[in-house]
Amino acid sequence: MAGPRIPERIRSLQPYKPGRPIEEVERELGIHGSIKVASNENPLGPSPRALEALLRALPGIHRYPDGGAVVLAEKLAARLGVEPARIVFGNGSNEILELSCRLFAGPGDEVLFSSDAFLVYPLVSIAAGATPVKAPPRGFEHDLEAIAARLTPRTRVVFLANPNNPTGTIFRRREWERFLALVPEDVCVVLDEAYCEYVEDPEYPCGIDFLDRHPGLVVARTFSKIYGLAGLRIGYGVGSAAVMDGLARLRQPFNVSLLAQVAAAAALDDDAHMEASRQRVRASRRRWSEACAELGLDFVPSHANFVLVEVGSGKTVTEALLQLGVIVRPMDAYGFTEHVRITFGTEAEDERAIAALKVVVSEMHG
Amino acid sequence: MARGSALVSARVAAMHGYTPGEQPVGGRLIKLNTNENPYPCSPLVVQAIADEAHRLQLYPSPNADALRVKAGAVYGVAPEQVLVGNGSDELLAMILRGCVLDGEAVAYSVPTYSLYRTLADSVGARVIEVAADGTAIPSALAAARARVTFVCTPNSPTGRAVPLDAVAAFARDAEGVVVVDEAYGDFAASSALSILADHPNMVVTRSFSKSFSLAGLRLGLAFGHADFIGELLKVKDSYNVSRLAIAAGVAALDDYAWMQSNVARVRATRVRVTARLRAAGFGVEDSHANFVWVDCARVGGGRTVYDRLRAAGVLVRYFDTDGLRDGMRASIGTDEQMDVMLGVLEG
Repeated sequence: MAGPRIPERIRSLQPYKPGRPIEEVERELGIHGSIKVASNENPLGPSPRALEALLRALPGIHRYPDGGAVVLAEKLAARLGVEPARIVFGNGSNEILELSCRLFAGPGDEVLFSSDAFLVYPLVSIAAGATPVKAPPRGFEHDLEAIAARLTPRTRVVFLANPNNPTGTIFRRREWERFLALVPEDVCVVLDEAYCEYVEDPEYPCGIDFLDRHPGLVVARTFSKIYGLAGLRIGYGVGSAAVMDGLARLRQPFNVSLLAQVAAAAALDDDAHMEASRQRVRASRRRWSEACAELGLDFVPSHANFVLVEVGSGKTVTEALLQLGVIVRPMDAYGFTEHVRITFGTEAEDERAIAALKVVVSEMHG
Repeated sequence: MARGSALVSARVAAMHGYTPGEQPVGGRLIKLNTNENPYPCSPLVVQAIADEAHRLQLYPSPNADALRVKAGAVYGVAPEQVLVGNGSDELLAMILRGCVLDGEAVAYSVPTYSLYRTLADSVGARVIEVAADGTAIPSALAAARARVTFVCTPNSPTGRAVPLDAVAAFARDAEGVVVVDEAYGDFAASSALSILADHPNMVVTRSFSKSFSLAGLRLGLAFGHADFIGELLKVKDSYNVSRLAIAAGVAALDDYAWMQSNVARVRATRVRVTARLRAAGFGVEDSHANFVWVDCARVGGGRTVYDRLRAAGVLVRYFDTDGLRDGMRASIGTDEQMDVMLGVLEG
């Protein structure tokens, strides 16, 4: 009896290793009371309004959700200043990345991105049967010139992250405009803005302002980060109506749950919560800059809700921190073997992570 | 600008997206068009969701481990044999993405769940649709030698179930993957889960949308051999199932008796509705699901009956598809809801 045949391109895929929930890590190590500053989650949690809306919707859970998420789309569209037909929701923005890649690229096509970018980009490229092409970064930043230099007639999709994960760096308006002018109109540019709400740089280009300049632009955003709803799975793509129609054909008819739709809609109304979340990240950014200076550690100045810190051996320090109940993310999968990525937490979580790092660093030097 | 349709692949431009049943906003319509359960989910599920809602800022378990373990225990398989999806639709899509290359065949007999066509088109498969011929599984389906074959049992929209021995014989002879779609399985008398161990090329998919009253949550399970499920994990989105769905799924399986009691009520209503419709002169298939397929040719066809019922505030489903225009599908609601529908049809 032969089992089912799986295509080689799937067999050889190395699946993305996502950060594990704190419950799983604690169970495995037999520890309690640890803190997880590893997955760039919002330590303040979601807006209380989102939770209220979700609990209010529970009696209707035996019904299918609105497949088109019309109420949410209209609300978000008004907020973004675009037509509702220019928005498609995904089961997390990850689904938008994957669908965009499948929509445009197939066997024989190339998908282009910076080698220091999110590991999901090569995975969705390979799963679509396309060839991933990597451009070298400039230090810790996307090098848009190097990316543009690798455009070929076979390039169908370019993934860019702004801010980038795991470096937290951004590219600015002028660089972006120059790049966009070099990309042929029929190439899809997926601009991953998962962390855009944290950026305060005046030269930061908001992707949605550029939709009319490039018909193949897809801006991907998420409710997992500043909205604090990572556990719920909802994100969205914004682009031309024609491209969004293509994504809508590829997605599952009911890909976003009823609870995700109502919670996201309520979260959009809570400006105070968003401001508090930004405020928290601002404070953490300052605190970590001071702490790294004090510990003599280099770090990459971050525009997002995490910081990449150079610690020597990322793997060793991750393990040592874990023993002290602080969960961070080693970055060897991204080629940053000397770094760890630390998510900004509550004030108490920041202090505990800093204290633990202090212990680990002094032990290494002692 | 915006030559968007020129941007997307010809494959997608040629696709017809799936047409879901109408989801009316508000109103007082009796909704019998998308095979939802008229009864609420278990209170344990509501409690589990309310508890888990306080951890929503945290990403879920990537593979929904707690639910894999629970489902393994309940259905008598190893956790590694369970794949958890954002609805069973996502699992069907994952199977095609994992197994089918451009131009390879995907087969099923029609009429059946119309999403199969959309999913197969979206991966560029060669679609082989075999007309139902009155046998359990048409022999032409085996002759198709497809990479993936869908067997929907109980089938939508007919409500027919394929006997287990026919499923087993088909899987034994098939070279490709046989997906036994049991979205309505809890309303039927048997499940292919009982023969899964004998067939390494078989996958059984199940849904929490119907029997467990959780359509709004998006949760489904696929059961297969551990090696095969392991390969499918590679094409899975990294966090494809929400925290709430995982917690709710565990609680729903903990309160299995709640589901069974709702299923028993639906089945009793199904028997009564079938008898009343037949007494009124309608041809009605013996249904093994939570809906009935009603032949309306005598009274003007599916669309006409849909309009009549709609005017009376009852929403059923008709299909503007060859071979289905004579009938309509009505989900089994509460007895009171069905009496409203019967009142219109008997009048």
